[in-house]
Amino acid sequence: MAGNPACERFIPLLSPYIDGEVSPTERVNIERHLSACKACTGRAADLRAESGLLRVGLEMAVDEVDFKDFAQKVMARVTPEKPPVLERLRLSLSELFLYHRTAMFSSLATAAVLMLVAIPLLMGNRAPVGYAGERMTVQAVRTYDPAKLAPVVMETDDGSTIIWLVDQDAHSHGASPVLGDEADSDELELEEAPAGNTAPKPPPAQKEEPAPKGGSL
Amino acid sequence: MRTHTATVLTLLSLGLMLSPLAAHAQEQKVKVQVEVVLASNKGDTVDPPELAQMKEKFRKQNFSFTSFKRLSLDTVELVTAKPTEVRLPNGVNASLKLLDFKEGIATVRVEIPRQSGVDMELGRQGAVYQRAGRHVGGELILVLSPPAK
Amino acid sequence: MATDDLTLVKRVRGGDQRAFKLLVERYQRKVYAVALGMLKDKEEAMDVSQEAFVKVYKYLDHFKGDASFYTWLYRITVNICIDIIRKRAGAGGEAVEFDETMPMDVSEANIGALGSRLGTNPQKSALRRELAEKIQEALAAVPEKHRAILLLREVEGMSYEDLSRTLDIPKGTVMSRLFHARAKVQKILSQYLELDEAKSGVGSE
Repeated sequence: MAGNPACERFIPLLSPYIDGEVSPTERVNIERHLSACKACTGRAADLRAESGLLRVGLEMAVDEVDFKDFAQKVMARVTPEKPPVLERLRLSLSELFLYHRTAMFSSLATAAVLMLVAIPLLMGNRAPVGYAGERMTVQAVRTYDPAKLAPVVMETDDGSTIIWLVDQDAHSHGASPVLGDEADSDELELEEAPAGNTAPKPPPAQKEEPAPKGGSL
Repeated sequence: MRTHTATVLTLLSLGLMLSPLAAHAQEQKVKVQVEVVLASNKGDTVDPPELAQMKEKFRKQNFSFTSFKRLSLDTVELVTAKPTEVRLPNGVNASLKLLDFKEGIATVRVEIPRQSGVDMELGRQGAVYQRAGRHVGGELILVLSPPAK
Repeated sequence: MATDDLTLVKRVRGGDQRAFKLLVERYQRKVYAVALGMLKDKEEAMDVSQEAFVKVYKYLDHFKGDASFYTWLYRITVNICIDIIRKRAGAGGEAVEFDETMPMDVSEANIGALGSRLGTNPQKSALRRELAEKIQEALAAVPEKHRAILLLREVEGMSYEDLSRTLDIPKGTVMSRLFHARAKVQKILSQYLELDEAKSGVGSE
């Protein structure tokens, strides 16, 4: 639509205009233009509609949520200080050794348990061979290319362990909280050809040591 | 600390095959359940339904995967002499090996090329979830847990 | 009417946890709305919303009271969201960056279509659910900085002055950023509407 050249000046002003954020002088000028310009009147209407749509649309989404326990949950999080996931990405070597400590403590408890378990073990295998331990415990984690991938180790509340990997550079392909975006995953797959498992290319020139020493421990 | 364990050892060695002291781990064997799960955001299938627990665990750790599909479930036997290979759907072989066997607790090493290598002590509870790489727009996860009865 | 924010903040500092609960209840819906608009994912938005309040509580001592409480709260919320978005998209996110000095694009399709289709004051009852969901997708298509300013303006009705303070940008940038953000979202919404109309056969007006 071939615009009135005057419109060029007014179009960007329509946005603050509908927000009521133009000076009184400007407002008069804009309204004068609007009275003479159907296109700009239409544009202003579009802006108002869009603004209202965003507002109402989001309200609808918020309406679906029950905030009954929200404040309570916040207060619960405030007291025991759980380090946010982003901080976990900076797990230091020394923290990884926590697993050794945990293993030792659990074997203290296990020792007591073993006393009870010993008798039934004589009878029949309640616990399979090798499972005298109380729970699966991670001792060490290594990555093949620590310059590229950093391990993130997470303990769930039932004592399971999740071992994830995060890119060291901004790619964060595989960063934990964010692996929800499907579109991104596909994009990244193109960029990350070496790591891409579905890539038709032959295995990368990147040499991996069979017994990884380049790891974090 | 170690005294408790020593007492237990005496009890155990009274007649148990666990014989950790004698464990030169030559023919030591251990069974472990190995599961391969595909986690993604394509749809919200959770198949089989038991994986709902896994989905919840991951959600609590701020992963937002909507779909969890089991691709395989096997019980493998590991020995110290040589590693056991588990083929993953993305063409990579995960390598599992029994590293050590002490006081009835087996230590297992799981290596996934280009990803990570994890050493773990086996135990009756819990599981270890190890990221195993990308596959068809999702993430493969190798899950190690005690064998089902 | 109700106790103002700064008084409540003072009480929280004095150890009154109930006062903090009141603050949370006052802003929870809007904080969630902003987080949802930024992140699209409901659970993540819920988690981030809680985290924002937790952070606010933790750093309450750092809040000088020179800004209004809610601009500080929203700044924290937006920053958490932007962090997540950047980690998510990596290079992808940056690629959507927008040059605000670019001359504006005067060639729009269908001027007046959105306005006549929805009316200038759309009501909840008139909005079809899918259309409301399209908004989130349209939002996701603009760079995070534009998303943020749009959300703060629409959800909270923030003045340009407050927007400038919350986002730490000059007022001129507020104006142009909003303009560009709206133009982009509008284009996308119009496209959805055209498809929408084509599918249903009629415009509901």
